[in-house]
Amino acid sequence: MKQLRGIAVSPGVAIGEALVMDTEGFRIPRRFVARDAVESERERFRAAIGAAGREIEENRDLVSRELGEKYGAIFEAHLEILRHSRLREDVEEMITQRHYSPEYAVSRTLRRYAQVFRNLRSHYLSERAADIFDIEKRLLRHLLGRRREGLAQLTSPVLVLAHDLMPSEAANLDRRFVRGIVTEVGGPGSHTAIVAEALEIPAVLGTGPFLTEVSGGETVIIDGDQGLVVLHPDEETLARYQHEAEEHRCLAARLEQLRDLPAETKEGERIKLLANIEFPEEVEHCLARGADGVGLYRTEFLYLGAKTEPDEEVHYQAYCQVVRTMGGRPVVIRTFDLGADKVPHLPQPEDQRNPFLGLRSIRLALRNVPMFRTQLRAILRASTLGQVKILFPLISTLLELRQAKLVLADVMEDLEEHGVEFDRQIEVGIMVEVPSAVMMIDRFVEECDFLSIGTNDLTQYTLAVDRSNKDVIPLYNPTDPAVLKLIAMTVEAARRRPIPVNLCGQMSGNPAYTMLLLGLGLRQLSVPPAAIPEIKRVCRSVRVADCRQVAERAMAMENARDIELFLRGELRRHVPEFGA
Amino acid sequence: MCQFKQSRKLVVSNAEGVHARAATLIAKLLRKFQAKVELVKGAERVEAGDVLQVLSLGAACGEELLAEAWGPDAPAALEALGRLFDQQFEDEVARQFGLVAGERQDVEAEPPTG
Repeated sequence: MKQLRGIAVSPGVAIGEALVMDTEGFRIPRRFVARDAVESERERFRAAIGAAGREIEENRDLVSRELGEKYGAIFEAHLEILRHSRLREDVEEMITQRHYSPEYAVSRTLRRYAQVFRNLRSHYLSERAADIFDIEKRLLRHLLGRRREGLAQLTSPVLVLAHDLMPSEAANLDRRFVRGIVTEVGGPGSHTAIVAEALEIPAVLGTGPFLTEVSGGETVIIDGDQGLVVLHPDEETLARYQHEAEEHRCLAARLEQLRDLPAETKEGERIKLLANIEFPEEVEHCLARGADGVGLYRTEFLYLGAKTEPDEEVHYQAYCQVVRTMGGRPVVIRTFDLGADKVPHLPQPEDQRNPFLGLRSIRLALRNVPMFRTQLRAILRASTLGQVKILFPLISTLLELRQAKLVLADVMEDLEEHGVEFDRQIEVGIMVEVPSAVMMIDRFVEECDFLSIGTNDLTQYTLAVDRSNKDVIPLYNPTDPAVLKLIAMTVEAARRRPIPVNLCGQMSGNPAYTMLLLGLGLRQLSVPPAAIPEIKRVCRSVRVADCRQVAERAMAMENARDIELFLRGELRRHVPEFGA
Repeated sequence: MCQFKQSRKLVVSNAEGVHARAATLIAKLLRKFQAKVELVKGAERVEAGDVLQVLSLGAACGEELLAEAWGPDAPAALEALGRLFDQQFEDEVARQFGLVAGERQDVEAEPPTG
């Protein structure tokens, strides 16, 4: 049994069969074969050994001819392993006795040896593990033939284990079958993390290398609460996690009962719980959880899942689907928030040394006006179907906001000239995530219809911490008093105007922070749909007066750690069910 | 015929230790004999004719292995093995044993002269 530590980016526990993506996108299709297929599977394995052997001989002869026998020697070794070692016996035994598929048996046997080699003290010998993987690949290629199945053709539930997922792969995961994700690299805020949250499946990222220690088809446990992954779990661990998964299900069922109840504090003050979504398909989740609307529709995946720039129709169809499904409930659509590096059809900027501070998001949109206009047109057209609002991200100066509004006004004029209908009164707001926006918030509230506080990036920029950087992640604390002050300033400025303000960062979905946020004056929170029941539960269990006290005490503290401990204590007190 | 165990000490003297090529040569060599041969390093005991097992011993330069053989031609097998080790798995030795790639393997090994 082996336990890995990574970053927990999506909560929950998943237990299931691993689907291991190696660098060539290979995966083991199944673990067991039917009893009456054992004979034919053994034959298939022998045929693969034969074919692989002939292939190696050819390579050996070729290389020996071109470069000399010494270089062909490594192929001799592979041939030796293939034809004369215990490999064959071991695999055939697994097929016959345990009904393992040849692919799984090959992978398992060879990886065991690879592990042994890696642990040898001699550097040269431990490198021989690479030879083992080479043989494994070759055999698998012969066993699987041309049928290299990627992530697209899944037929049963799996936990995906990979080095990394490309944004397009993450965007296109089959939600019917992917039950959990682990990647060797990556962190919160990555596309994999966002997708995992959207799919509401447990995910642990940034574990470091481990793929060579697990074979496709093996049982794996993903603990998305603690950021742990267990390979080859023993009986005890398996039982423990199965119990935990069961508890999760029970809690979820209990929370489900809150669905049709309003998010009201004990004094009857109504809190609006909106949802953050990435894909149109998620609106079903939103409704199922009783969301009051979509507080943040992140439109990035329209760009990420595609090979070319999405045209107006693609945008329009997606927005329509969301707006229609949400009925008359508000839908806040955020415009393009990516860097050029994630969008292949844009020219790559020359300087990418500080991507978070560079040409991305609204800045990129203002430099690529045709692309910006396309999105705005689609949003405006969809605004006739319901209550749509526009949200501009990463606004750092008044000038930027005015420029964006100019483009919007221009698009509106254009549509009017062509007799296309749209909501002339459409509300426009900004993401408050750059500290400069907070410092100028008194001016901004005069030029916006609403505000949305994005604590993910606000925390980064305020504390100067890159939250995808493993070395400084401990410094990334949304409950840092500096960040809390900025939130308080923003909420107060909005209150004075008055215009609505919500908070849509990850902070909003964490029940430990709900009392604090309510105490600071927030009455709208936009959270991942899965978090709505929990946050609702907290809202219904507290009084605003208590929340104000909690906020006051937290704001008087000096550091994030103290504040965290305090808030957790308060959560336990008021909602004992969530204690821990 | 003599069925007792024969043994011989082997010293790994080439820099890379018993590497892939060496293990392959050992396996090929021993196929020419009937004897069953095992290699022992400390508490580990493996079949000398299985290259994967031999490699997993991780026998490095300077280490000692014990070769144990059973069977009618055990002494000859150990003798040949000893020579292979002494000569550090050099190409020349391999060639003399007819172990080099491409050569027919069903010819009995001729002991080198001189």
